[in-house]
Amino acid sequence: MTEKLVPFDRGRRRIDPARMREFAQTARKLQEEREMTAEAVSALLRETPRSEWGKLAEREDLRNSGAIERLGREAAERLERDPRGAVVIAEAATLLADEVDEDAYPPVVVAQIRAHALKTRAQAYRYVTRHDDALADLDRAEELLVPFGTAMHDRAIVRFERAIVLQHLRRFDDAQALLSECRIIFDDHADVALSNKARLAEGNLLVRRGDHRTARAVLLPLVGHVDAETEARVQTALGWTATELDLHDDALRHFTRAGECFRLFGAAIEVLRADYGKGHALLRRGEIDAALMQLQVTRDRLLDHEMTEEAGLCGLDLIEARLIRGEAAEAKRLATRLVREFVAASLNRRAIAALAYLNEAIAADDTPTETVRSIAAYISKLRVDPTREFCIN
Amino acid sequence: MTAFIPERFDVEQFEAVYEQYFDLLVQVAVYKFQVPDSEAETLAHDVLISYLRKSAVIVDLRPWLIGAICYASRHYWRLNGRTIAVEELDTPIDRADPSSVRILDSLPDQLAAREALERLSPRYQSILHMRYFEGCTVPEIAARLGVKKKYAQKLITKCLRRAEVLYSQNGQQKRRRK
Repeated sequence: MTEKLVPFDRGRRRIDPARMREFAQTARKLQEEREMTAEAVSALLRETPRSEWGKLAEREDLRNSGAIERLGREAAERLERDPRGAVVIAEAATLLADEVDEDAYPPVVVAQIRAHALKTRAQAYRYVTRHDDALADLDRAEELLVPFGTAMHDRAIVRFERAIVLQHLRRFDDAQALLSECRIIFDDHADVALSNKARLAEGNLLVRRGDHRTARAVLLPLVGHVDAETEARVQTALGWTATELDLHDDALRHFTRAGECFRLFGAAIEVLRADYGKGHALLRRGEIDAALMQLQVTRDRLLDHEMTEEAGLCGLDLIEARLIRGEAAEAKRLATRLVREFVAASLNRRAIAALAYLNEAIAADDTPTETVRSIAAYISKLRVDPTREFCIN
Repeated sequence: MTAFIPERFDVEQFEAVYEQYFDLLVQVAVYKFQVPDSEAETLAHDVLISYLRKSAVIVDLRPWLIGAICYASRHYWRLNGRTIAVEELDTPIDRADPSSVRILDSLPDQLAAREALERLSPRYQSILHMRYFEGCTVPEIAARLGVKKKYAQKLITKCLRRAEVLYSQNGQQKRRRK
């Protein structure tokens, strides 16, 4: 039986010099292109009029991994502040990637370059709600990567983007399945950053679906293991899941922590949102005076930032607090003000109708606090489902 | 895809990575997935090539490469027709598990131990291989098997116990024969 044993010698395998040469050449080429084009591409974008950005696709000197990679980063950085600019840059990068010589790099690298460009363009299309175009790009990106078993990590990144697009299309089941799958692949590659990102996306998706218990289970492991910005977002999401699950002590803790994290990097708007959550948690805990103080200050600041909708939600909590304290006249005044603010800001007509209903109900001295809560919940849901019908149980 | 952060890497550094990990990746493909030797070398080479474009964003290189070679090996078998997972094959594999070397060191009767290890199921051999040959941690093994960490730890203990039982049985049989 022992003759079956194969002696194992760790040092016996010799590396094929041709393979080592190919590897070193590719490494050198990618490295040089990255260094040469990094600043050049950014400068080119600064110096070229925005209307001419599309023409960058015609430049032969940009048909390489480094330039395309840099254009992708430039597009990604513009997604939030200038999504249309991001689309133009990503489109140029995709065209350049298509023109990359097949023999310029090993086949898997060519596939990575093109798939990456397509994925960035899909992301940009998502920001301008061109979801069908985004999905078409992601299909193509995956097709390019399918022949390469070594590019599974890249495929997971493409699928991650697909999950986000599907979420926007409200295909929650498909999105959730993809996110779980991506998380496993990122974990298998010990890619903690992307795994956490996938977990956060999954948690947020579950929150949107109203599955707060599972969302909480998915999000809690992230606490203390992510950067401050992600931590703040995780804490905010956990705050709302705790609120929904009537865990108001936990909710208060999460919102307080979220506010602290957001303050660290000066995200003023997000701090206000966390403060609103905090006021809401205080109200649910029955700390009416503290809630009133917190909510009033937060509402004023939200109005300063012209965030009428959030200020309205904050106002509804204030109305509830006033009603609990038996201050119906003050509640009525505030309800009237909310209707005016929503009308002036041309917000969703259904929300205005719901507030008008509340106004009438308070005027008739017939408003249990449950009605105020139902209207607040309805207005919150209108933000993700703008055509939702209003009904009071 | 994550943003690529250009960082200064010398080509010598890349070559060092190649030299350091090529053999390990081939071993994983060959011993864990029974990919033929020459194909395993191609897969290992492709994994290392795929890593180049991502070098600046990979934080933990070793597990990243091992994850990539595992997916590449499974992909190889999907393309080449095998439908049964390696761990589920009933027939014992011809090649001995190199992880046995470490276990043998701890056992006085090497011959009996080898026989005992050969009689382990391929799945058990594979687990011991990961733990004692590849040097995987329990969480890494759990991730590869798709099970929880606690269960992975239980499995490792179970494999060792099974090996011990087989080892003792061998010893008894030999004494009876004498």
